[in-house]
Amino acid sequence: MDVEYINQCLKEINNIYGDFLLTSNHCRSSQAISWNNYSPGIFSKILYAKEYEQLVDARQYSFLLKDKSFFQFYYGYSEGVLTKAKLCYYPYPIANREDIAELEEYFCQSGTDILETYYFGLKELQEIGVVSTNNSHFRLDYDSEVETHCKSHAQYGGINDLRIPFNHIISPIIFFEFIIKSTLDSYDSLKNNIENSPQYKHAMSLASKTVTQVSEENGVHLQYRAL
Amino acid sequence: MSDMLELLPGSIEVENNVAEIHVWTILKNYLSEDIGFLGYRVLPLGNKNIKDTPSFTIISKKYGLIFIDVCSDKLIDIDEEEFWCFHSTGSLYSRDALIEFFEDEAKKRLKRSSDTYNRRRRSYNLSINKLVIFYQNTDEELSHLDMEEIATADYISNQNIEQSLKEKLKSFESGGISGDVISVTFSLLEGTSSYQSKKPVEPELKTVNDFIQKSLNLTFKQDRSQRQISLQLPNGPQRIRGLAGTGKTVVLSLKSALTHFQYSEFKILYLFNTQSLYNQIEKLVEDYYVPEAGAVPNWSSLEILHAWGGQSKPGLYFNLCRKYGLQPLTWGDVRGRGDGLSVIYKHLLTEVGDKLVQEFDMVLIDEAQDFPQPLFEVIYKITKEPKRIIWAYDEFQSLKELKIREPDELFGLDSDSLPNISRDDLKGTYEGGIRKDFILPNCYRNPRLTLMVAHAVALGLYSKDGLVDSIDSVADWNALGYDVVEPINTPQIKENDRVNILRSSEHSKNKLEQFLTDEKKNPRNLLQVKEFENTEKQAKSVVNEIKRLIIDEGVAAEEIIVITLDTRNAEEDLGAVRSLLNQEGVQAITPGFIEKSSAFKEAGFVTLTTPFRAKGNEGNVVFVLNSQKTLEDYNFRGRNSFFVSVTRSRGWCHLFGVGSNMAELMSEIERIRGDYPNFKFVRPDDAFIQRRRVILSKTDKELIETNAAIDKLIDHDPEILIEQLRLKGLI
Repeated sequence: MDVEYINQCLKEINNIYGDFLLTSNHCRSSQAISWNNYSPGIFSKILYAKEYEQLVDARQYSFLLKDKSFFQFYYGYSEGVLTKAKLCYYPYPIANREDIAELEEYFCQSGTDILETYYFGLKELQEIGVVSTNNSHFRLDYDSEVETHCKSHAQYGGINDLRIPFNHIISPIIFFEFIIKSTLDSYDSLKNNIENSPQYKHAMSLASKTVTQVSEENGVHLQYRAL
Repeated sequence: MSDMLELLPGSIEVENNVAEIHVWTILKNYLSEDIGFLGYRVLPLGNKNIKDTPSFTIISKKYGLIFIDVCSDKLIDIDEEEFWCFHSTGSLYSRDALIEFFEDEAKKRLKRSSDTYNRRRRSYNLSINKLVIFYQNTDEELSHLDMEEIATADYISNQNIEQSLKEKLKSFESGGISGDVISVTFSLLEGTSSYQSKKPVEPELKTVNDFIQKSLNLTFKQDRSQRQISLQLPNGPQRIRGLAGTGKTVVLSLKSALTHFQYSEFKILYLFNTQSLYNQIEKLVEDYYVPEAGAVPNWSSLEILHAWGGQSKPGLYFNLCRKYGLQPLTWGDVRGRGDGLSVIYKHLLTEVGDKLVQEFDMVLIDEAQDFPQPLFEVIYKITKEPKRIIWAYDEFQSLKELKIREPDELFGLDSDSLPNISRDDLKGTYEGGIRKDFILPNCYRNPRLTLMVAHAVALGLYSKDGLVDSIDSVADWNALGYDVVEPINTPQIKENDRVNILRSSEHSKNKLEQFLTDEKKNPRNLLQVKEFENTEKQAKSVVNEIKRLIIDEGVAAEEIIVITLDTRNAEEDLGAVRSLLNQEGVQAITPGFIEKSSAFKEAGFVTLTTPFRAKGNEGNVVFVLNSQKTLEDYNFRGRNSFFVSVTRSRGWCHLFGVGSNMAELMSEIERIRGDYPNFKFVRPDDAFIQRRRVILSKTDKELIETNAAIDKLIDHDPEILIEQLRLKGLI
């Protein structure tokens, strides 16, 4: 899974899924695959809409899609060896469905102080037209140097402290395909075209071969299995 | 330069010095047949104190360059030549020395051009003279003071001033100076050199980018009307009218800088609406002020503010609230209560209207068309007598605002219920023939054809359904930069008149048009119209054209703006274009949908947007997509959007569209081109125009409801509808 391969893989995403993309912003250097104006890190404990907005404004994505979700793909190398990987998916923030009456009811029925304040605050906000959002990002992280927790894991931004061990490091196209297949409504209509194309078949078969085993974890863990 | 004497009265009215005004009047009359400039202290020539410069500068074909200083106080003694003692002003530095320094500086500057100075012969190409007028001293007194020994300049006493002044001028007569020398002299001496054009480097112009670069390299040079108005300080209210791109911001910036320079004790306010203009205005002020004053402007005396403001960025409303101990309303507070600015300024008037103190000596209001009435009323209250309020008004922002709001509607009423500023207050002229209601007729932004098509389509002048609205006042046409050829000799166009309107090239100073003509290319191509079978083909075509412009023509992506008139499907349509561009390796942004609304023209990115968001921005290449929507709205909003979109273009404008309405729009534009550069139409009868105005005044919601009700009648009870209309004589 060298720099050259990952770079090629991102180009394949452009070619195969071009119709779903608004902007491709990935780039490569000798030691990493990242995106233009890359800045590391994530925002936590802030409103998801704000997290999303800050990242889009700063163009912190490899691919921005038509449904306004985006992907980050970062692969870092040290002397040719993969040391870090981050595969991240940020959906577009969606509004909560509750109306003011429902929030009021939550508030009235709630018996705990803190949750009560949440509902009340939301109601107040909604009255002046603020819509609350509910969402967060999903990511796969790999860091060869960490000791305190598993080197490769899946994380959901909403429960940032929970890391589910993941036995493999996968190529961008596997992550990308897996997610858009479930999230993009428009995918189905193009599914056959895409999956029957030689380009797709070639890219996926290559991607399967490059999957790298990290470790076998005990207990709950995720793993990749080739199609 | 024009072929007449250009009067630049500057601050003469504000100074109101009897002696100077007398001399000004003599000079103005005596030189009236001459060609050149007569200015009152409009050329500081690096003097930090404008009072150290001579009162008048004449640059004339007949008399060359003359500096005249008027000593309006009586000279009583001279102390070692350097200090002159005056009767009421006391000891001052020698006026003779000051005029000599001024002449030295002028000569130094004139050496810079071979038009004015011959370096081999070491001589100037026009005569240079200086004269001091002792307005309160007799010949006898002057000879008693040994003036003949002391003075390096010519001088005259108060005896028979008019006669001796004319004789002096006659003695300076050199004659036959060419117009070029006159205008070069003025350029070298004027303080606005930063607005002059650089000497263009002349590569052969081939690609679209070459033309764009050439037009960008030429920075703004003021024309006659702009110079006159910027260098003048009115002693009362003044309105400046003109289309977007006529230089109003430059004029106001210069006026405020000049006033700040000449009257450092004046408190001046420059008020505007669009926050992104801060840098531009401050730069314009500094470009003029810093070289002249040798210091940075004192921003506490010359305040540049937008209308609102908050903790992070002060604005007029916010500052006034603080001053008067009010809790300022924020944008969140007034959300959903109509025009926010109107709400907050009403809030000020209600809470502290009677307590507002006059604090500004001059207020300049840019983008006045964007401001609500209560703001003007507040401005009136905080401006000192004689109410030097200068407001610049963008003509034709939208069809709904065709009628300009008059001062009696803006500035509120006094205790007798009379307008604080009436329409009559804008009638007539200030000194030098400068109108109180001043028009900047020359549009620098849009090529003439583009602008005319935009105007004609917006007004429906060539629409098969008839005019959308009628501009009836000749003055209003003039304010848009047009001349009314027919009907002649009337200030007002009437119903059923045959109307012929001309836009002379002189009023459209877009450089690209001229460059293309110079290069024997057809400026007609600046506006192109294309019809497509469907939106997919339209999108593919715009992407191919953009790719061609960027790759083959070297155009920077940020100079390209794509605007869709189909606002309902904007996000989807623009997304499709963005995706196709991405597949071609061209980066784009869709401000307001994905990027921030303020992210316009980011370097390296094509901007994809809607008419509403495009307002206030401009680009060298504009694509209008779904132009067919121009003809599809109940209340002519489509025509308005068309106008806004097309006028974003400084250069090329491509109109793309689909469907039968596109074919109709194309034939409408063909009819407009057919009469270019004129508009010819018949003014419909008043009843027709009245109906149109009623429709224009309706909100979208009202129109949708009414139309739905009519559709229902047509579907279910057409007989009743027809019968009713017939009975009431409507059909």
